[in-house]
Amino acid sequence: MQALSSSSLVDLQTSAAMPLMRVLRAYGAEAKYESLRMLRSPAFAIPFLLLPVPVYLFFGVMLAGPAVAKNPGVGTYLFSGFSAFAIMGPALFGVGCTLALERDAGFLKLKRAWPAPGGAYLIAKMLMAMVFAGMAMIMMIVAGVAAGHTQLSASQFFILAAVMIAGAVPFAAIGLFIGAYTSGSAAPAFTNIVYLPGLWLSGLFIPLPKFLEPWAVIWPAFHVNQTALGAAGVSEFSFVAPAISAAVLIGVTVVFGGLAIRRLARHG
Amino acid sequence: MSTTDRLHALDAVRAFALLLGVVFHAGFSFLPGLIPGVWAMTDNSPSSAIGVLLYTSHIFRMSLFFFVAGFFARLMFQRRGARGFWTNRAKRILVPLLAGWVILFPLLAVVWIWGITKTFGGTLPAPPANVPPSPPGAFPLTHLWFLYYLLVLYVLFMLGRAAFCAVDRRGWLRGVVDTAVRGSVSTGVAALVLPVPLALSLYARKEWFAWFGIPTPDQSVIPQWASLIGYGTAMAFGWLIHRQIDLLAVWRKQWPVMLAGGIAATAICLSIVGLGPAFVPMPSGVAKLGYAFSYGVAIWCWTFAIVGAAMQFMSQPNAKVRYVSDASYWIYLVHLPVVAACQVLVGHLPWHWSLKFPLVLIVSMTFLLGTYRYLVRSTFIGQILNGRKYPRDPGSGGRGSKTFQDPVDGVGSEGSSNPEARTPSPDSMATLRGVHKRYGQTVALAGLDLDVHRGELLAVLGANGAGKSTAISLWLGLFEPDAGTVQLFGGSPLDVETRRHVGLMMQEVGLTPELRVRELIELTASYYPAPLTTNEVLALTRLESLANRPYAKLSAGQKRQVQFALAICGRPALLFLDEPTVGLDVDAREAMWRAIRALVTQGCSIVLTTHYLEEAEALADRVAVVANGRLIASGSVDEIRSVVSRKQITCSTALSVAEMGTWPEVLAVTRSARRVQITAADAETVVRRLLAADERVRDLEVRQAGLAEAFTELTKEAA
Repeated sequence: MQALSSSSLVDLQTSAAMPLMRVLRAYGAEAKYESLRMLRSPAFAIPFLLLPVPVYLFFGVMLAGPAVAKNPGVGTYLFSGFSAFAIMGPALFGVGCTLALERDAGFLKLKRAWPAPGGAYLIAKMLMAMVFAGMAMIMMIVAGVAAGHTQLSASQFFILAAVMIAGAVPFAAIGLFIGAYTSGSAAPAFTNIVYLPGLWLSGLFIPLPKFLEPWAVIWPAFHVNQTALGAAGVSEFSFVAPAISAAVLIGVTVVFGGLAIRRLARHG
Repeated sequence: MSTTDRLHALDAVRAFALLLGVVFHAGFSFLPGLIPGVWAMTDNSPSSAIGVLLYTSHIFRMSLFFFVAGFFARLMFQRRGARGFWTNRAKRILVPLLAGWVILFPLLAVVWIWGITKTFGGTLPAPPANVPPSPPGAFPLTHLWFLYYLLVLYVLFMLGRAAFCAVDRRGWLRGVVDTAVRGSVSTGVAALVLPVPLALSLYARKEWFAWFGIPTPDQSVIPQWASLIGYGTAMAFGWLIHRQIDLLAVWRKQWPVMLAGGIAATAICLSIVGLGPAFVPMPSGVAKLGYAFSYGVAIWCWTFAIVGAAMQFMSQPNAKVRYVSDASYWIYLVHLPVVAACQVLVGHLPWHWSLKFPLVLIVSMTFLLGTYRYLVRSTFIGQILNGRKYPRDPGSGGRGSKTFQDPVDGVGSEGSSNPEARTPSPDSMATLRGVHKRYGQTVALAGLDLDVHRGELLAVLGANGAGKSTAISLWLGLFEPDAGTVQLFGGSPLDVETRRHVGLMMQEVGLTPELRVRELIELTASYYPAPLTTNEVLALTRLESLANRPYAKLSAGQKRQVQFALAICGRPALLFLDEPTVGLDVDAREAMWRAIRALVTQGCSIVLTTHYLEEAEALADRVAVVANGRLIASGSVDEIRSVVSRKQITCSTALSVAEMGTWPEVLAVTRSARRVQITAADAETVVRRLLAADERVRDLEVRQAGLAEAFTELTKEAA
């Protein structure tokens, strides 16, 4: 206390507005600490950061060897598919399950009462998903280049990674939706209902049975993959115009994000 | 079952009929065998399943609508008289017809030209060379034809009714009609008799595209006989049913039979006419007559089945159904260009119809519901269409003050008190005025008035569930009140700018377990315009030694200290502390009290809730006692204590407890070990009597009641 005599504990100028730089700093701090705490959570970081690369190397490189030998384009397609796999997990689980747990703990009530700038908490979760997507993509690119199974140029790698990082956002929005509506104990189950079928039925790694093919378009993972392949100019496996896929992803983000925000604003 | 129950059911039926129309049009581009150019888009993935769905729904949807319209027409005529009826119909039918056509026709034209151009691969096909001259009265009514026909039928009904009443002065004829209606409904014969006029008129029609049932009269202002007879019968029967409302209950039992009949008749019709539409007139013959009659039977079986099912399952008021009912009129009016545009967009995509059809429906319904929510419900359009303007939804704005809303009839009424009459005093940091708050059935606040003055420490006391935490939550902008006003620094707590001068500590919160104490402080401080430095906060709250420990590894008391640190890190002018010292040891509590006193000394206003009355006694400038959601007492600690005039007398005496208990001034007596404790309203009299009765009284002590006794007494009175 004595040490503080110089500094006032109370700021009575209640009409003073917050400088813009400090507002931006608040967004930054929120995103920084959201990412930091996820990295510190081993149950989350290990499966979602370290698993995709070995999975890719095993299934997408070793086991797919003969298929790639027959058609080299398959290697590129598999790399893109496993990249989508790598970014989905952190976005869906990292956002959805933590949000549900934090709601259970009453933490969200506190967050709403604090004068955090509008949406800082939700934006932080989205940015966290993108940070994790970025780290996952770096590891995937290292693995992809090392395995040499892709036909991508450096700029194509870059475009693909950029789309994948942005592609974490719609999954984060779905995560927000799940987290906003379910309890902490139910959230992992609901997330898996979206995650596992979405992974397989979007045709990222394996050819789909004929009757399921038209249905691939309902999964956001399909559209992330299509946007990435289309934007990177891989025409062989581009089934839908990248602009349409991107529009679908934006729609998914708006709808699920909007529903989540609506719910959180009312119920906390 | 009351009259209003029936209306809920019929409201739902009308909405169902209208929304079914949206489904019908949404599926049109997927019809098998659709000739390009007939509709805005011809989808590349046609479906027989959609064909059957559309065929079935189209059989009854408009007849069902006109039946309900006839029922409500008589209801309105009875309630408002002829003049009121026509005024209302002019506003709700004529205005939408005229305004709707002017707006929708160009939109429809644009969507149709766009769609047909796309259908024919980019060029609009040339019109056929020898276009026959338009017949007199030709006019593209579009799907708004039903409004036109409603008006025509209203006119015919009013004329017919006047003539009927002129002839039937004694009501004898009316009695015959009512008996016939009752008999035909209760025996189910109605479903076989009512189709006859329609079947004959359809049979007589030369160019009848039989797959589409009753001809859609959207090309001419001259009424078409078959349409007028078909929909006129439906409306007339609805009108007659309103004369004997109890007949609705018959279908409540009959509906499964009627449903079976409807399905059977539909199957017969489909077997005659085929799953996909034929765009050629049906040739005359027995098949045509049989088909026309089966079609009419199907209409009435479906109609009675749906009305009966609605009576059975939808008679109770339901907010969601009611919302959709209100929205359905608007949705049906404007849906066609939206639905058609969606069809055009997806028409050439290489997707299966089972994906595209739901997509068209979902996207257009979302859009239409959205436009209803934001453009209609609370605006003059809603006033015209539904006769009512709903207040804006609680979630969408409103800065604090609000009125109660009756969920059923939506008639707003003012809250109990008039909050504006009492303005907060200028030195108020935070005010609650006449605040009501309910959670479902539980009343949390029932007209609470509370002020926080500049620079004071206000202790809010109350039993569990008295409303303390709710009051604080309102000040923190976590909820909005049901009624009354909530202000912080003269502004709204919903405004983040206002809350930037507020610190808070809540009950039962879990902070991010992975973050360290220092990081939590840094993060929270970032929300404030001019916070203390992290080191200052750590020093002030004696948390230096825990600065780098993750929150999850702290004890309960340490967590509370961290929460206190977060509450003060922003240098707040106003601080809310909800049970701050729960779980703290004596040292930590003393330290927190010192910090709180230091804050008050520097001018911070503090609102403190606590269960420890000694905490309030030690810290508070003022005490507010809340019970059952109301303020029951407020004042300094001494003032509150003096509310209770009783005193405590303790002594050692040989007198028995029972004897002293009979003295009139004594409220209660207890003996513990050798000492007796007496609670008395008038201590002096009791002491005098005590000394007189027992000269050997020792250790006599008289004490003013404490805050605890005062609190107990006050809340007991309030309960």
